[in-house]
Amino acid sequence: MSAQLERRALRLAAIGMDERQCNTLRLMCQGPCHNACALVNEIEAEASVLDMDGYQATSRLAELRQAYPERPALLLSLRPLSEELRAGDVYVSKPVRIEEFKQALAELRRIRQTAAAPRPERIEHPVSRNFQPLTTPANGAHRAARLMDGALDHAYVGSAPDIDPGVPAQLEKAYYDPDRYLQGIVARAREMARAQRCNVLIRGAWPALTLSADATLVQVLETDSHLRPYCVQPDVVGGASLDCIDAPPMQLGQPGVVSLDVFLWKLALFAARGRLPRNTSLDAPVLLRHWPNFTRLTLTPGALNIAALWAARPHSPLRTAQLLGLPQRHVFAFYSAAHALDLAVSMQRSADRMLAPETPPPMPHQGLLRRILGKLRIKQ
Amino acid sequence: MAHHKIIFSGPVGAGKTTAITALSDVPPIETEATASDHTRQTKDKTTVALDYGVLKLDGSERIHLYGTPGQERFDFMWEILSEGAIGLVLLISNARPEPLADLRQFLEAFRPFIDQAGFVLGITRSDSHRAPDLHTYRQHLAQAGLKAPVFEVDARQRRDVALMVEALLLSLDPGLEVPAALSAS
Repeated sequence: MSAQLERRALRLAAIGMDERQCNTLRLMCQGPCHNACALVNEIEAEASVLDMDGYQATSRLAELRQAYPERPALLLSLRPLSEELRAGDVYVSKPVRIEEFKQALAELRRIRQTAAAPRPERIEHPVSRNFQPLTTPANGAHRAARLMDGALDHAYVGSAPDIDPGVPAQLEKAYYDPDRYLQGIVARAREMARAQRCNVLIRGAWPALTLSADATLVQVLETDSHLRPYCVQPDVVGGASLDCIDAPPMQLGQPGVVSLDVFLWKLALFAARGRLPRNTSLDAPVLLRHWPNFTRLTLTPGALNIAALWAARPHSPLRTAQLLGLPQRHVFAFYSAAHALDLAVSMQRSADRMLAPETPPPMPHQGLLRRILGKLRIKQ
Repeated sequence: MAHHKIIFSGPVGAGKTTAITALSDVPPIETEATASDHTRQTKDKTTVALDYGVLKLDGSERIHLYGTPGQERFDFMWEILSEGAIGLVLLISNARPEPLADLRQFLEAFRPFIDQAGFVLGITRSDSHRAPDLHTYRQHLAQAGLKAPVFEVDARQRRDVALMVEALLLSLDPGLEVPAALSAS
């Protein structure tokens, strides 16, 4: 086991880092570290790397430890970290020196080996091992599909474990209030543009945003990584202003102009991080009014399956997670984004439920369809 | 061996040949010829018989990708080609004069097939021609009693084309990848 681990690259998940930081890490792994490590997605990783100087890094670390209790983390920070915060993880001070980084990799391997060592009680009582049922095939196609989605990003679906709806404290964690986030302000601006047919300038703590008069485009003169802190932080909206302004017609292709749907979808994912908008029933079926334009939107894990299920027949968020074998946060994230675009609605009134379409009959070619799906995803 | 196929259809210039090329594992067989009729106003060459590509699965299994010729005078082929197919990828170009009329025409022609197979609608050239927007297309489908996936696509991008086919397959069975859980419900 030890020799095998030494020979191959240690699989690292970079948590909360932007593309530039990831590229730097990638280059460090490939060059000075002679491929001793490689960046992979969150699910496939053997260890995590966190920039502890990043936004909400401490809470991210806590979420990560909860989601992957046996996975060691490499914590990078300008300032020394307390023993309590390190909690057995590996710390390297910034700026990162190659030798220290290599030593940290060796230490992560050692922790992994210790965790992977067989434990007598498990050998004696294999049936008592707390395995989750394998509800998704762990084949190459499946992994490739998830990589393709680019959707395992912690930023979009969070990392919270499933909740028990019977426990009030857990239930509370399943919700967020869109109105307290930038998402809510942009949604209000959209309504204003629609009602008054004017370009709307949104001002606040964040870089200025302008919505087109037809409420289909938005000008955002900042990158995701610059804007994201304002998207994930609640209560940044105090003092925000919305104003109708005279401006020339906006067009795609102009600097910073993107589809408002694409932007709002992402804002909702950032704000929700795997939670539901407040007052959404966990048990009421969800009606998908239309399929999202997936070729242009951030694709979260399981989004296509969820959309297909809800398009065929409304199911509640909890039931959907159960049926599709998905973590609840994947369902919640998708609902939040689709709801932000008015594409999905919780059918909390009994009258709504009467609109539910019939379930289509089962298809005869399930095995074939699965093989095609695997093929499509593995090639991407 | 069973003959599995997916049909790509749509009017002239919608991107059928390009989409099949993007998805096929082998160089597609194209039957394009120099356009001599009114098609010439849209493009120099057009498909006069059908396009053909292949998606190779594990082992020797193959999915045949057929692109129908776009001109109406070949519509007798549409029904023949679609017989026994898994589903229809319909491409409509926003750059054509009347995209919604194109949609109506193809929905009508393929309706019996759509009702018993998978269906996905891809809108091409929407980056340069914004109208009609997706909402309008969705409304047209709803009026026709269809709630199908509608995506803006660049037929040159394999990811866009593959996503359309994925959505088509999942429309037929949302529980793909997790058959046990869904079939138990």
